[in-house]
Formats: sequence, structure tokens, C-alpha cells
Amino acid sequence: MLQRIAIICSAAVLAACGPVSEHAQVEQDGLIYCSEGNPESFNPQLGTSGTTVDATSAQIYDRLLDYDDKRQQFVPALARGWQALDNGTRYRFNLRTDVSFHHTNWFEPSRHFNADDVVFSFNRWLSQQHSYHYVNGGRYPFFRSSGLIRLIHSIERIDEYTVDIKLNQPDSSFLANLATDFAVILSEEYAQQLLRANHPEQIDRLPIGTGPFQFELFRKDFIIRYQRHENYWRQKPEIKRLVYVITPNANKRMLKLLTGECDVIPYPLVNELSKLDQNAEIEVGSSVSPNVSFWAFNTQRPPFDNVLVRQALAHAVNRPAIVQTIYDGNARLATGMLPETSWAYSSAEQTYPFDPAKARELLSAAGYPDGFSMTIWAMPVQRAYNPNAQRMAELMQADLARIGIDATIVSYEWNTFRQRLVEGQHDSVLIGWVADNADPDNFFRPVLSCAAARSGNNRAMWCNPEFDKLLVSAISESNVDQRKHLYQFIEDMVKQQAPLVPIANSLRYQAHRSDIEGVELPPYGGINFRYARRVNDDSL
Amino acid sequence: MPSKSIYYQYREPSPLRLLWLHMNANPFAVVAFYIFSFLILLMVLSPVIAPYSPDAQFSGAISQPPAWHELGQIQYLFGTDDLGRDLLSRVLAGSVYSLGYPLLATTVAALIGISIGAWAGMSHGVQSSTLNHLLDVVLSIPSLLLALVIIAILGPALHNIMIAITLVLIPQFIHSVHNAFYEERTKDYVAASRLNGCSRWYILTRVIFPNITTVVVMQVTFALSTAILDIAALGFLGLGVQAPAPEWGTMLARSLDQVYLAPWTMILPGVALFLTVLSINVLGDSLRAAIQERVRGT
Amino acid sequence: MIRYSLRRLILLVITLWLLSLLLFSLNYWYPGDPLTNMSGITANNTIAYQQAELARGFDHGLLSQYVHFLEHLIHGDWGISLVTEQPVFDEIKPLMGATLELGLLAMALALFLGIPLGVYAAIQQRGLLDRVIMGLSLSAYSIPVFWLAQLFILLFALKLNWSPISGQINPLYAINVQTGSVLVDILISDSPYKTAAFYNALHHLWVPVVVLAIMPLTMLIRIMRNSVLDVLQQNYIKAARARGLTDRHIMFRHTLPNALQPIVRQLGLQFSVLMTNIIITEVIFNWPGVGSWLVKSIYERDFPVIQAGLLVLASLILMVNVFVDVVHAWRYPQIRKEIDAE
Repeated sequence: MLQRIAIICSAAVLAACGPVSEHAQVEQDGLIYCSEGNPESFNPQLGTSGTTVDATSAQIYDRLLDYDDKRQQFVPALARGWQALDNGTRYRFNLRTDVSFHHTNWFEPSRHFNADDVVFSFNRWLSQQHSYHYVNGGRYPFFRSSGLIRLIHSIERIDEYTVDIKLNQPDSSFLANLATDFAVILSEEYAQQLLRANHPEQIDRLPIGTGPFQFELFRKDFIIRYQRHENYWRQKPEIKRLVYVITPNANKRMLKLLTGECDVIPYPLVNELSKLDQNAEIEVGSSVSPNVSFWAFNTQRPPFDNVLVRQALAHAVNRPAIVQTIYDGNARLATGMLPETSWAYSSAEQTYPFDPAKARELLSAAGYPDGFSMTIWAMPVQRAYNPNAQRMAELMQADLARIGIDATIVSYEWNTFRQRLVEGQHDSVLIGWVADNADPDNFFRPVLSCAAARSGNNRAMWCNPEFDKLLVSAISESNVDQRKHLYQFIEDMVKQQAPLVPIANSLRYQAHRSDIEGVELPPYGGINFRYARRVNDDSL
Repeated sequence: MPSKSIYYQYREPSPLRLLWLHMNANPFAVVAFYIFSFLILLMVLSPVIAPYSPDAQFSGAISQPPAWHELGQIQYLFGTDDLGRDLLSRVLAGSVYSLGYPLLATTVAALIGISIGAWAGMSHGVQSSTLNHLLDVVLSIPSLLLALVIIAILGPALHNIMIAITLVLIPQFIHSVHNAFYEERTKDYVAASRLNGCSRWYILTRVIFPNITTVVVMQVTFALSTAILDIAALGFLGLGVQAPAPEWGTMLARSLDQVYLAPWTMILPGVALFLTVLSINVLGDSLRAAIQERVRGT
Repeated sequence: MIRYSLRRLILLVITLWLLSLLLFSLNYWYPGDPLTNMSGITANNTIAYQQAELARGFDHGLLSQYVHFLEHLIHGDWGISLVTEQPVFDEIKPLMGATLELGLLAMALALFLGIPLGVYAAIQQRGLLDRVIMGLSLSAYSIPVFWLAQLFILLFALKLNWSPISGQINPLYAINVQTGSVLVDILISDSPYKTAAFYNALHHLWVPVVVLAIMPLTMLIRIMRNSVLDVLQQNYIKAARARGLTDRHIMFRHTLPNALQPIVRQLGLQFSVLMTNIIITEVIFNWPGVGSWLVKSIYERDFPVIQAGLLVLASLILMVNVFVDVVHAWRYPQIRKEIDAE
């Protein structure tokens, strides 16, 4: 009894007597984003994980140019302008002169941004001889799978504020790739300082960039803290502090949004969106996101190296029911790898219908009449393409049990999970893909090509030279109708070989408290807090 | 007709029977005893009385509230979870994991622990108080912590949990049985039997053991509630019985995700766990009181 | 007394040594390479691996490996985490602070409420309130802590909005982590909003503290009640009463000091119970302590971290137990005779 009274008293005291004005000031100046996982590092060059991009690209760094998706054109960023020379095999970038790097406890820049920084940032992933190339892994999956490494011949400093990039052949996707979240500019001076201190690996842990926010602190599994970059070369952000609170559990994120512990959350649970909408304090935003979620089989491991087994599994799961339960009407059942928004999309059905009898038949034909046991790896985090992989895995588990397959669900912390996928420890995995750009090629080459299998991004570990040949012929074809035809052919091959089973295409959601505005979600990934601000009650 | 009552003979009730008489005087203990028996009965009958299979997913009844709620349906008495599985069926089926397996673990641990404890209590080599103190100190490390480490070695799976919990319980049995033996073996009635020339085995099983049954029974209730809570805690942490098995701790961990939209999913497994542990604790508590009274009585 | 303390200390040292043996063997029982499990250095990192092989005596037999293991352990070189690749020993300090803060506050709350309530129940023996207190305490003792935490979150955070759901403090208060104990960190920080931050931290703290305090609280109430009842039966109390001392005087000068003896004896056990619960509570409230760290490391199979977590928690519990024993024997000399006589 007494104890309960004591609780009520203490709570009342805390609520009533807390120094309200100070508290309000702290809140007014900051923003809490409850992110879904730990970034792998603080350099997006090193990975393809959306979580890393969200925590770094638009906050800590800038690129040479940005893509404005409202006006559908490239806009200058660190480069004031650019020209294509020599028939499009050489690009000349004129750089800004007034850009300063972050001033932090661990680095005091002595100069502004210049051509050396651009050359350093590009050569880090471009040149294997570069002293930083092998620091922290030496894999640059985006640059490898997008072909930039093979496309760029060299980068040259012309003068302090001019840089030339030479290409091996003209390529229209070059600028688009430079505008992605991965092509960020690091500080060359900082890199030199670290090299002298013999701690080059710190460059991706204590990052220095030119972006609107500067990194302050990272505690794994708890928070990332940023503060405003006071000398930012564009308009300074309004919020002084930005904090990412790492909250992998989607429900907890939503609850914390309701109690005001989070201001913005990514990937709110779809089936609870409707409830959020009714809450006046919460607003839900959505944006089109070119993505697909899929179930990939590790084709290097028996029995998944047998195409009959893969087809059987594709028949065994009730995809329409899964999409209905998991996405609750906020997603489309995938008819192939390409989403409806892609120009190469065709409405032809390129997947397997739900048919347990057929599945059992195929299993018998493959020599497994009594089934087998397998693991389904389910992502521990939500992605735009899959709000709840664990639950999806449970639904599939029940479906698989019907054809005699005993499936266990496996999950690890997100970065460990990805690392072990690269090592190929899985039998099958529920994961997906968000396109980096609008080209249909981006749905196949980074996901299923042999190059992707080598760089570890091919979750099916599937390498088929014939398939790669088709991809090359599709990208070198200039006639749009021909290309579309070729991509349909590729889709058919994916269906027939079934290295993976496409599941759904979904919108990308974000929810925030209604006093926050200006949080941007660019369609090709990332999140941008540069224009975020808190609206006062008075000004409403 | 030869009557047994020709000579008035007062028969001293056995320690267990005496305990039962004491317990009977305590209404809480009686209620707890009946609740516990009822739970065991439910567990045994669960495959028969559960309305549905615990894994059956009703896609038409996702997150259905309990029947007394205005949106509830009578066929899902306690509602359904986010995959449309009937909660009542799941909790009933879960009793096998959350009550049956702890019972099994406790039994095995008791058999092993009592044998070792009795041996240690009877032999002279291991009676030093230092060893006893050492065991005291080691036992202060929580069982859950030890179980966690064993799981880290073996990996989370049902049989590994059973191994872990059983291993963790054994030292407790050794300790209490060893102590009890140690206390009894110096008493006069044991000395008397020894002087009568009884074999060690006879003294162990017929002379001393009946007098320490109460201690054993109490230790069993204690171990059982530890086992139940530890298995549920491991399940809750995702390191125990793996989904989709309807283990109560696992169900509670899942319900944490739906606490806002479907709070009923955390009620039934929680109540089941609470009732089970409560009835066992009340039983253990009244046993302890009864033992104390018996000691005072003599 | 000194003899007794020495005996206890030697026992502690022996137990800690046994613990180190256990930790050492764990490295060979865990799946994977023992050296990697011990040092966190994978065989991929060839140079560092070879260095570690030499430094940890892996070119010699098991005995030499154990000696080196012990050496590293004592020097605070506990290897690096397989996940973050940071030195484990450095990571542990702030986590320890957070765990201790939670544990000590909960223990303090339990003592602060448990002793008066136990005394009160004893005075009112077999009265209505006694029955209510005892009934509540027996049921509260049987509530699994994870369920209780969930119910509290549902009630206080979601329905009443009296507390946040998780975390130590609103992260916008940029308090730098030094000791790990958030209240101490605020006091030694140079934040301009100290008072507000302090209130905010308390606001976050009270639910986990109450959740943790409930189980020891219920135990303390029961022990205290029984102990006061026992003491009240004693002759010296009757004698005091016969001399006409006031009830107050008897209670505070004669009954309480004696009745506290079993409480002190039980503190060690209660601390162990608390530590079990703290592991689960930290996970639920996302508290950056040793418990949640240990559980996470088990998911991630980060063996150097698992070992460190086990070592820290187990030795903490052992030391608190021995400390409590010594204090108990020092405060209540009659106990020493019992133990020494054995």
C-alpha cells in the first residue's frame, strides 16, 4: 500500500516540480530519431546497408552533386558545376571554395575543402595501391556492383578547386551514381593526420565530413549523437542536436513515438498505421520506394543446389496470405523482381502459385519425399520492403511444415546477420532490395550476378554465367522496347531457376510527431534532417 | 474375530503424513495444492481439451480480443495473437513446456542430486566444513546466470535448456541433502541402529532417509519454481524454447510487441505462469512452516 | 574476528580461482577456436593472431596457457569483442556503473520500505493489515519479473504516461558517459541543464527500480516480520517490559537491533536474486548495463564478452556475499561462535 502511494507521490513530484522551462528548451533544440539498427561504420562507401546510409550520408557528408527528385535533375553540391569533355569520357568538376570540415575534439581542420579531398575520397575505393584502400575491409560493394570501379579510369587534380575524372567509355549513368548516397567526400587532411598517428582505421569510426551535422558519439546498441555543424556551407540546420536512439524493435519504436520519446521513427508497423493515423499527435508519411522483398535460397548448399527443391519451396508458401498478414494491404504481391514503378515492369505473372500438392510432388522428384529440415534467416530489423521478417518467417514455417519441412528461424543482430550472410552460413533468408537508381538493371545485377556473389551481396550465392551474359546484353542495348523484352526474359529465367522467391513491393513509411516538419525521405534511400525543425505551439 | 485394537497402540505418523496433517490445517496450502493438481491435470489433458492446435493460424481472426470484449468472438475465448492463433489453446499446450519440462528437469536433478548428496553425507572424506562453505558460496551465483552460460556453449534449443536447467539444479539438491544427512547421522537413533549392526545401506535408506523426506520435498518445490521461472526467463530472452513452440515465456516476449494494440496477449500466459509459481511457492512456504512446527513440537 | 574474516577472504580467493578455472575451460567448450574465444582475435587477422598465440602461451601446453590467461585477466586485458572489436575491459566500466546504480537503488528502496512494513506487520500480527501485507508479499514474490515489468510499462508508461518506456535519460541532454551511473554522470558533467537532466533521469529510473525492488522487498518484509515476532518472544524483551520501558523504547533499542540480524544475513542472498532479475530488467528497459550486454553477447556469440559478463557478475555476487558475511559476523558476534565451532 505505502509503496504504491510512494510511487504516486514520486511520479507527481517529478511531473509537477521538474524544471519545465529548461526541459522545454532542451527539447526545442534537439530531435530524436529512433533508428532501427547500428550502422556498420560511419562511412557509406564501405557498405550497402540502409541503416549505415541513414546514419551517415545526408548527415555527416556531402557529395559533389545531388539529385533533386522534384525537378528530376542534378543540382550542384560540393561541385559548383561540371562539364562533360572529350565526348563524355572526361568530366571536369569546379569545386566550391567556401566549404569547411567539421571541427571536433579529434580533428581541427587547417584548411577548407579542396580538390585533394575529392581525389582522396575517390582513390580510396578506386585504386588498390591507395594507402587507405584496404583499411577497414577494402570492400566497396556499391562501387563494385554498380560498375563505377571499372568505369572510372582515373581522377586528376587540375588545380586547387578543379578535378577531372576520366572514364573508360562514355556512360550516361555516371552522374546518377555520383549523386547516390555512397559517393561521399571525406577529408584528406584528416586521413593524413590519422596515418601519422598510425590509426587509419579511425577514419570510419570517428568520421569527419562537410555535412550539416557533425558526429559526436556512438554507443553501440544505444545512441548516436550529432551536433549541428556551425560552419555549414549551406543554410545551417535549425536543430542543434540530432540523436539516433537505436531501437530495433518496431513496436517499441512505435510506443516510444506515442510517449514522445522519439520524434521520428522509420518503418512503423503497417498494421498499426491506421491506429497511428487516428492519433492527433502523430503523422505518418509515405513515399514511393522501388523495392522488392524476397526469400533467397543458398544455392551453394544442398539440397538448395537442386532447382527442383527450390521450385518446390516456391510452391509451398502461401504468398498472398503472407502479404495480407504482414503488410495489411500496404504492399503489392510481387509478380517478379521488378516493381510496378519500373518502366521494364510487365504485369505477366512471373512467380509460382501456392500449391502444396505440387510442392510435395517436386520434393519427391528431387529425392526428398519425407522433407528435410532447414533454417530461415529472418532479418532482425524492419526495412521498407519487409516490416516484420520474423513474423513472415513464422507464417512460412507453418506452410513448410505442411510439406514435411521442418524450418527453424534464425536471427542475429543486424550487422552480424549481414556478415554471416556474406559468409554463406544460411540455408535461406528473408531479405530484400531497395534500388539505388531507376534503372531496371539495378534490380538484377547487384542482387543475382556472379560479381554480386563474389562481393557477398548475392544472398542466393547464385552464379549463372548465362544469366550474367543476358544482363550485359540488356544493359548495352539502347532500344527501350528491346531492353524491356530482354528484362522480361531475365525475369523468366529468375522464375525458372528460382534462386529466390519474390514476395512483395511496398511503400516506404515514416512516422513523426506532429510538431516536427521537414524530414525528407529521398526515394532511393537515406533520410535527411537538414531541413527538419520543431514547430512551436505558439506558431501553430 | 481377532481385533487389532486389543492392545491400544499409538502409531506415530510418518514424517510425511505428519506434514500432510499440518498442511491440512492451513487453508491456503490446501487451495494451493488443489490449484497445482488442477494445473497438472490440465497439462496432462491439454492435447484433448485444447479447442485448436496451438499452431493453427486463423487468417480471418488476427489479433482478436477475448470473448467478453465487444469485438471478441466466443470461439476464441481468450482472443488470438497477431498470427491468428488461439491463445487459450496455446497456453494449454504451453503448459507442457512451462510446467511439464520443469517437472522432468526437477525429477532428474533430484534423483542425481539426492544420490550424490546422500553419498557425500554418509562418507567421511567430504565432510569438512570448508567444502560446505565453498558450496555455499558457489550456490550464491544465480542459477539463471549459470544456465545462460551453458546455453552460450550449447546453443538455444529445447534439449539444451533441459540440460542446462538440470545441471543448475543438481548442486542445490546435493547441498540440502548433504546438510540434512550430516545433521541426522549424529543423532541417537542412528547411532542405535548402527550399534544394532544394521548395514550402511539399511541405515541410509530405512533409518535416515524417512526422516529427511520433508527437507527433500521442500527442496523439490523450491527447485520446481526455480526451474519454471528460469525456463520462462530464458524463453523470454529468446534463448530458450524457440518459436513457434507456445512456451509461456516466449509468448510473453512476443506479447511485449503487441502491448499497445493487443494487451490481452500478455495476460493469459502471464497469469498462467503466475498461478503456477504462486501455488508452488505457497506449497513450499506452508511446508516450511509445517516443518518448523514439527521441529518445535519434538 | 580477524581469524574469521581471514577464513572468509581465503574462501573468496579460492572461489574466485575456481571461477577463473571455469572461465578458462569455457574457452575450450565454446564452439570455435579457443584462442579466438579468449582474445577476440580471429585467425583472419594473421599477424595479430600469431602475436596472441605467443602472448597467451598457445605454443605450450594447457598449464602455460592457463598461467597466461590468468596473467591477462589480472592485467585487465580481457581480449576484444568479436563484434565491436573494442577492448572488452574498457567497455565494461560504464556498464558496471549503470548496473550498480540500478541494483543499489532497488536494494535501498527494498530496505527502506521492507523493514518498516515488516515491523508493522509483526506488531499487527494476525490483524487485517498483517494478512494483507503477507498475502501481497507472497503473491508479489511469485510474479515473474519480466511480466511485472511489462505490466508496469503498460500501466505507467502507456496508459498513465508517468514515465518513459526505456532508457536512462532523454538523450538530448548530451550527458557524457563516465561512470555509467547516470545520476553521478549528471553531477560531474558540465551540462548547463543539470537540474533538469537530474529530474529527467529520475523520471526514467523509477519504474525499473520499483520493478527490481519488489522481489527483495517482499522477502525482506517476510523475514523482518518473522524475526520481530521471534525477538518479541525473547526473555530480555519480557524483562524490559517488566521494567516498565515504553513500547517505543523497547522497539527501537531492544527489538530492532536484534531483529535486523536475519535481514543482514539474507542480504547476500537477496543480492543474488536481484542480480538475476537485473539481467532481465535491463533487457526490457534497454538499460546499458552488464546484464543486457551479456544477453546480447549470447545472441551474437561474442565469447570474450560472454566471459567478461559472467566474470563480472559472478565475482560481484561472490564478493557481496562474503562482504555481507563478514559484516554480519562483525556486527553479531554470537554468530561467529556458531561458525567457528563447526
